Amino acid sequence: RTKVELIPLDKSNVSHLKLLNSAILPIYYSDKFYRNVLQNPEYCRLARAANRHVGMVCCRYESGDGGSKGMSNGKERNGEPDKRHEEDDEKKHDIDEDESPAKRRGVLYIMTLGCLSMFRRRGVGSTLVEFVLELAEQLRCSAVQLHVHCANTDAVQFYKRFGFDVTQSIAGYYRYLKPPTALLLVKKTKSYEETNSSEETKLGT
Amino acid sequence: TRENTLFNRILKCYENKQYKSGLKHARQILSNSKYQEHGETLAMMGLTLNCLGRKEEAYDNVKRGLRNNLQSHVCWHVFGLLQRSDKKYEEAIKCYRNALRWDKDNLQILRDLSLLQIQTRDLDGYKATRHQLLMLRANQRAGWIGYAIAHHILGDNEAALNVLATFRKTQEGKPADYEFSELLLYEASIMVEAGQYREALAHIYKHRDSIVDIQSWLEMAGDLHFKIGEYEYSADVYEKLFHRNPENTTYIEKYIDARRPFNDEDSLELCQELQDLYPRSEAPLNYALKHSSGDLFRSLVDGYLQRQLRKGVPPLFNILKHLFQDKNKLEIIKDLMMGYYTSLDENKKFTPDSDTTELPTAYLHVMIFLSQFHDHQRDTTQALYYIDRAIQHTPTYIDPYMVKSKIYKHAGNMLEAVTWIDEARMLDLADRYLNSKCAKYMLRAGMMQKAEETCAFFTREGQAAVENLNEMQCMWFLTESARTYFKNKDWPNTLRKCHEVEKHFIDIVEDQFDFHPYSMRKMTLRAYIGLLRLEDSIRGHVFYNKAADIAIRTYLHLHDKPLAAANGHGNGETDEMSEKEKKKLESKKKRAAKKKQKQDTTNTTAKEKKVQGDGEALPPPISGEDLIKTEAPLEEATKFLEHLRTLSPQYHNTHTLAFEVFYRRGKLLLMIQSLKRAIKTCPSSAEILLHLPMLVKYVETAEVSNNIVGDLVQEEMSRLVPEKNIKDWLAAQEGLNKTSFKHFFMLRCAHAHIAPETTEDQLKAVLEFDLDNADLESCEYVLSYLSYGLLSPDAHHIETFTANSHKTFPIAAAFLPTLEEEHVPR
Repeated sequence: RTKVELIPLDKSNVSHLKLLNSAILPIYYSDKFYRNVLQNPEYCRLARAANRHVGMVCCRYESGDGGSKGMSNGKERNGEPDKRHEEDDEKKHDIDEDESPAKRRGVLYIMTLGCLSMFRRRGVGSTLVEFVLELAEQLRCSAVQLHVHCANTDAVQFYKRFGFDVTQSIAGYYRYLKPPTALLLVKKTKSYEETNSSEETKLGT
Repeated sequence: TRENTLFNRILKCYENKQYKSGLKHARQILSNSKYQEHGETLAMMGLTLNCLGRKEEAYDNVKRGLRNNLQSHVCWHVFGLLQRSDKKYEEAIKCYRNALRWDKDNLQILRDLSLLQIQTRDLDGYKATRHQLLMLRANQRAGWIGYAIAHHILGDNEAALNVLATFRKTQEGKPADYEFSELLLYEASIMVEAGQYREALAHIYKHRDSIVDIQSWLEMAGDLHFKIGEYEYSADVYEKLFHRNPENTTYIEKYIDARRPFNDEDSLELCQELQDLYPRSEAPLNYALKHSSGDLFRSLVDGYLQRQLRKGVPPLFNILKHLFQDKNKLEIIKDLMMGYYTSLDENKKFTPDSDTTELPTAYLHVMIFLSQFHDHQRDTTQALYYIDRAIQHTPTYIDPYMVKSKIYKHAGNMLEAVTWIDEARMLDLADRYLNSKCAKYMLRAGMMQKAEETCAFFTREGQAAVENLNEMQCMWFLTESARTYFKNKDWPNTLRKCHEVEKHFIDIVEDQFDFHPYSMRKMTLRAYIGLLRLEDSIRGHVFYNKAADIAIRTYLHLHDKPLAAANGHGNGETDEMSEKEKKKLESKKKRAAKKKQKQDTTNTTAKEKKVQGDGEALPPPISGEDLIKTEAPLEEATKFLEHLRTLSPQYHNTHTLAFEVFYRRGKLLLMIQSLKRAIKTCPSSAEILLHLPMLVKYVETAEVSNNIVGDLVQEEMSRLVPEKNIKDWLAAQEGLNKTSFKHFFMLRCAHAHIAPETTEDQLKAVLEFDLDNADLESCEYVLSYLSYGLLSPDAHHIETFTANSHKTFPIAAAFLPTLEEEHVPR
C-alpha cells in the first residue's frame, strides 16, 4: 500500500480536481460545480500519492430539514443537470421525514470520489472513503449516501467492502450514460446505529 | 571665524548625508553680505542640492561658485563630483585635473580621479595616479594594492609582482587573516598568468598556513602540479578535492587525467575506484557513461535509468541528451527504454525477470522520456503519441504538459505550444518558471498582450508589467519582444526594445563603479580582476548578440526601404503588402494605439507617484518613433556591429551581418575581411554562397584608386575564388550542398545576382523544390527572404510557396493559410 496524503482543496489546486474528475468520471462537471465545492472545501479532499494528485472526493452535507451544504445551489446539485436526478434527491429526504423531528439528522452525500486508473489497488480509494466515514461521524450524520452507475460493478463491490448497501435502483437517473440507471448506496453511520439500538433497548424495557 | 566653522559643518553634513541641515548652514554663510558670493560655499550648496534631486539649481550654484573662485580646488572638485553623478566621466576627469592644479597632493581628489580612470579604462592615467597616491602615503595598504592592480591590468605582471612582494615585506609579523590570504592568492594568480608555474607553486606552499581559502589553494595546487608535470602530486590534490565534493565533475576528470590512464578502460577503472568511495555520488557515474561504450555502457546506463525512473527525476532526459551524439549509445538507450515500456505495461516491472514491482510513476516517466526522445529525433507523431498517453496516465502531473508544449514548439506551431504551456501554468499558478516560460512562448506566438498579462502575475503591482520588466533588466522579455516586433515589421518597437537592451548593458558597465573602492577595501582582488575583465567583454553575452542581430537587420531594412518621411510608417512598406495584410496592419496599429493610451494613463499615475516618492525624475523612455527617423541607419547598425565583431566573433551571424552592412557602405576591404571570417568561423552559413558572388561582382565594377589596396584586393580575391571564375565556384558549391534547401535557395539567389535576367528561372526553381527534402527551419528561412524581396517574387509566388510549405509542415504556424494574431487557443 502506497502512502496516501489527503490535501485540502483550495483555489490553487482546484484545476487538479477538474482534471481528475474529467479523467476518472464519465460525467462532465460545469464550472459552477467547482465554484460551489470551493464554497465548502471542508467536504472535499485531493489524494496525493507518489508525489502527485491521483484521486479526489467531493461531498455535500444535507441537513435533516432538507437544505444542503457543500452545494449552495439547490439546482444541479450533482453537477449533473438532470431534472429527474433532483427529484430523486427530494424523495430521499422524504424518507428522512418519516422519522420523528428529534431524530432527524443530516446525510453526507458523496458527489464524486475516484482515483486514476493507473494508481488503483493501492489504498487511495480506501483512504478517501475512510475520510468520508470519519467526516460523517464528526458531523453526526445518520448516513453516507451516493449514486453509482449500475454498470459499474467494481464500484459497487468497492463500497460494499465498507458496509454500503444497495437500497434502490433508479431508472433514468443519468441522461448521457447507458444504461441510464443508477443505484443508491447507503451506509448508516456508527453513531446513528448506536443511538438507534440504545433507543430500541429503552423501548424494550 | 564663525563662517569657517559653519563651512566645516557643511562638509560634515554632506559626508553624513544630512543634506537639509547642510543647506541651512550654507544659507547662513551666504546671508552674511560679506560672503554673499563666496565660491566654495556656493559650490557646496550646489552639491548638496544635487543630492536632494534639485539638479538645475545645483548646476547654477556650482557654476556660480566656480566663477567666483577659479583657483579653489574645492570648487573644481565639487564640479567634478557633480559631473560624475551625471555620468559625464570625461568632463569630471578634466575638473579633477583642474582641482589638482591648485592642490596637487590632495588625496581625496586623487582617489576620486583614480576611480574615474579605472572606470573609463584610462589605464595609463590610472597607473600614474596610483603611483602618486603610493608616493604620498607609502604606509597605506590601498596605495600598494592599487598600484599593483594598475600594473597587472596593463599586462605588466613582473612589475605587479614586484610591488606586491615589496608590500608583503612590510606586513611580516602581522597576524594572517582573510584579507592577507586573498592577497597571497592574488599574487599567485598573477604568477600563473605570467606562466611562472614553479614560482606560483613554491609561493602557495610557502604560505600554506596563511591561506585560509583551502578550496582555492587545492584547486590552484592541483592545476600547477599538473602543469609542471608532477602528475602524482596533482592526482593527490584532486583526490582531496573529490573528497570535499564528490559531485564535482571537473575534479573527477582532472584526477583521472593526472593519473595518466593509457586508455578508456584504465580511466573507467579509476572512475570505478572513486565510485566505490562514494557509491551514491552521481558524478563518477556520469563520467563513466560518457567514456564507456558497448556492453559496459549498456549495463551502466541500465542501472542508472532504472534508478532515476523509479525516483522520477524530471530532468533525466536532459542529463542524458549529450550522450545521443554517439549513435550507438542512442540506440542502446532507446532499446532499453522500449524494453521498460513494454515490460512495465505488461507486469509493472522494468524487465520481465525482475523481482521488484514498480510504482505507476515509473511507467509514466518512461513515457515522458520516450516522448522527449522522439521529439529530439524530430518525430513529432511518435512524440505526441507518448506524451498524450502520459497525460492520460496522470493528468495532474505538470511535466508532460511542458514536454507537449515543447514538441509543438519544435514543430513550429507556437500557438499550440502556448495552449499546452498555459495548461501547465494553470496547474501551478505560483510557479514563476512556468509563468515566464508561458509568457515567452506567447511572445513567440505574437500574443504580446497575453504575454504581458501573464507576466503581470509576478511583476510589481501599480506599474505596467512591461515597464517593470524593463526596469528589472529582464533581458529575455526584451529580446523576445524585439523578435516578435521584427517579425511583425513593427520597426519603431523593434528598435526600442533593442535599444533598451543596449541601455541595460550600458547600465551594467556603469554599475561596476561602486566595486572599485569596495573590492580594494575588502581585498577581493581575484574577483575584482575577474569583474573588470567581464565588464570589458560583457557585450559578448548572448542577450546582446540577439538584440544586436535584430537591430542590425532592422537598420538594414530601414536603409534598403527607407520610410517615407511624411507619415511615420512609410509607403514603401505597405506597397508590397497584400490587401489582407494591409488590413491586418491597420487593425494592429489601432489596437496598439489604444493599448498605448491605456498604458500611458497608468504609467503617468505610477510615475507621478514615483517622482513624489524619491524626488528623482526617471530617465525619459526610449522612443522608437525617434529611432526609426535616423538619417544614417547604416551608422547606427555599425555601432551594434562593432561590438559583435570585437566581442562575439564566434556568433554565427556576426560576419554575414557585417558583410551586409559593409556591402551597403561600400567598404571593400572590410567586406573581404568579413567574408573570410565567415568562411572560417561558420563555413556552413548559406549566406556565404550569395555573399561571395556579390563581392566578385562588386570588385569587377568597383574603382579602386589606391594601388596598394587594389593589389591587396586582387590577391585576396584570387585566394577566395582560386579559378577566378565565380560560375565554376558556384557549380562546385552546388554539388557540395545538394541536400540543404537553405543552400539551394542561396545558390539560386547567387545566380540571379550574377545574371539578373535569369531571376525568374531561379525563382521557379525555388518554387519547384521538393519540400519533402527540406526541413522546417529552411522553409521559414526561405520564406523570410522571399518576403524580403530576394528573387523579386510577387504576392502570388509567395502564396504558392506558403501553401506548398503548409502541405509539408501542416502544423507549422508560419505557413498556416490565415493566421489571425488574436486567435487565442481556448
